[in-house]
Amino acid sequence: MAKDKAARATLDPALVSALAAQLYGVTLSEARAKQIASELAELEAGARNAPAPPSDAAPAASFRSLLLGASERAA
Amino acid sequence: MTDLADLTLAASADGIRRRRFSSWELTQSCLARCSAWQAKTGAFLALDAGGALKAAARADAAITQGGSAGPLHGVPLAHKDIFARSNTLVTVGSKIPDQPATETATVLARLDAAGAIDLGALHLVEFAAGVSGHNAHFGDCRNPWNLERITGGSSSGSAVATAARMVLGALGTDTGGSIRVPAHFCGVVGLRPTYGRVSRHGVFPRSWSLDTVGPMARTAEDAALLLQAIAGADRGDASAEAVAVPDYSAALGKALAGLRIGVPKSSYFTTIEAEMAALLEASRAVFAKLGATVTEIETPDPTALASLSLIVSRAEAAALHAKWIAERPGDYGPGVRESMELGLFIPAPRYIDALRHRGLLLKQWLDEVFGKVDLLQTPVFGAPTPNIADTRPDGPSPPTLGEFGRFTAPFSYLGLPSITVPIGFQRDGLPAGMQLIARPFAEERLLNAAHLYQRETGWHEKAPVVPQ
Repeated sequence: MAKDKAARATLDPALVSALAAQLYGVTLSEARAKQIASELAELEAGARNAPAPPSDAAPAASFRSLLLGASERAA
Repeated sequence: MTDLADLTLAASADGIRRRRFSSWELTQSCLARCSAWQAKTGAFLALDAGGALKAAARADAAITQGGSAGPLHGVPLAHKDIFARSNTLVTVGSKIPDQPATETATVLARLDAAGAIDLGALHLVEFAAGVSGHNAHFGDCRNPWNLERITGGSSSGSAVATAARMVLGALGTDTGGSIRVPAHFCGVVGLRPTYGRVSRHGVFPRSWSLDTVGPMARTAEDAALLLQAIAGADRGDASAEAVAVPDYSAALGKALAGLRIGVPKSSYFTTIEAEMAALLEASRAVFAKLGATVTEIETPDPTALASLSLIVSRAEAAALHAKWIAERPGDYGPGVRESMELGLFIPAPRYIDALRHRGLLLKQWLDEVFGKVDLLQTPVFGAPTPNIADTRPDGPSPPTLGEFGRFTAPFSYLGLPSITVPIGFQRDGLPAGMQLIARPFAEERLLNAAHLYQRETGWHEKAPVVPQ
């Protein structure tokens, strides 16, 4: 439920416009804000198919060790 | 007599070393091709013919004086205009950068040390932020096989200059497919190395977590020579891993008997045009003939990989461009600023999660796919080569990384090495390629499979007709 709420927040074009102006000083047309919201929703939907990583997985750490570990020539 | 520009990079380097011809003659031949093709394709953003001939003369003098010749001694190359060259303005395909570089990118310095000659800076999509080869500031790059068709991008000029024999090879960069996609559309070999295999010091970034530098060449043998020169750790780039660099050329020619090639069963990879499917099927028959075992394989669900890859690349590009987006929005071409803007609104937890997922998903693919096969084969692009006019970034059907990077971006996210290899021609005469993917740091396996495939098929010997 909490995840759905967070996902919905990114889909509100008005929020996108407000963030653009307040955080980045960027003015967006209504159509552009709507497009961004729609593209964000697509990304959200796609990412939701991924299995959840364990809570102790630090960003990028296991990725690098796996790359090196799987290397047939790791130094 | 064969025009020297038609030789492969390996044959050119060998010919110079053995004094069969000079670097000056070879460079003249490449410059003649540049004269024939540049106005048609726009492959170069800056061509330094005078400087290249002077460098060639110096290379010849060194050979005459008995000096030691590097592996690329006297060979004319050119590179995507994204690599820093000291005292030179690197445009990155944009009108925003306005200061010359203060140092040279590690990869260019390594090619210089190997004796290569740099003809100039090649076309790219603005800030490497696109996949089609369009550029509003410098003009669209055109495909030498058909000037109305796209080249693919963002390493558009690298693919075109190599395909048209203007140079013997080139470097490109690949975030979500920017080497492999143009290699497919232009009919050349394009290698995206493992993340961390090649230094990115002095390379203008697109997405720090995904960017790689790799070779584009006519043959896998040529790509091996280029990768040999640029691979390895670098004090200037902490992300360039201290993993031993094998002798890539020595690994070429090893029989494929026992090699296991997997073909994904998932409809994600099989939903492509029948013509492309037939070309891929034919390529698999060649591998089987060469002794490889080709089998269908179940893969983990690939759909999340492309979205996660886009979350990472968009968020990082936005971090890089936020200041310019706010202060110089009009200096971006159509569609480019928009592609960056999206990243401004990706919540931090989403971006962090996209990075946290990376290890888990890589482990899944290593266990479930690369524990069973040595190489995975997929399409690079599943449809006919689009027209330039139909895919304009400000037109009704702008190209998207979701569509163009469908088969490439997932493997960027996983950090795995992958290579595009030409597999023949579509009915309309445009080339097509396959993508092969391997375990981390197994570039020699990719190069060897591609090399033996090319030796068997000879697709790389076909060239676009030189304009008169």
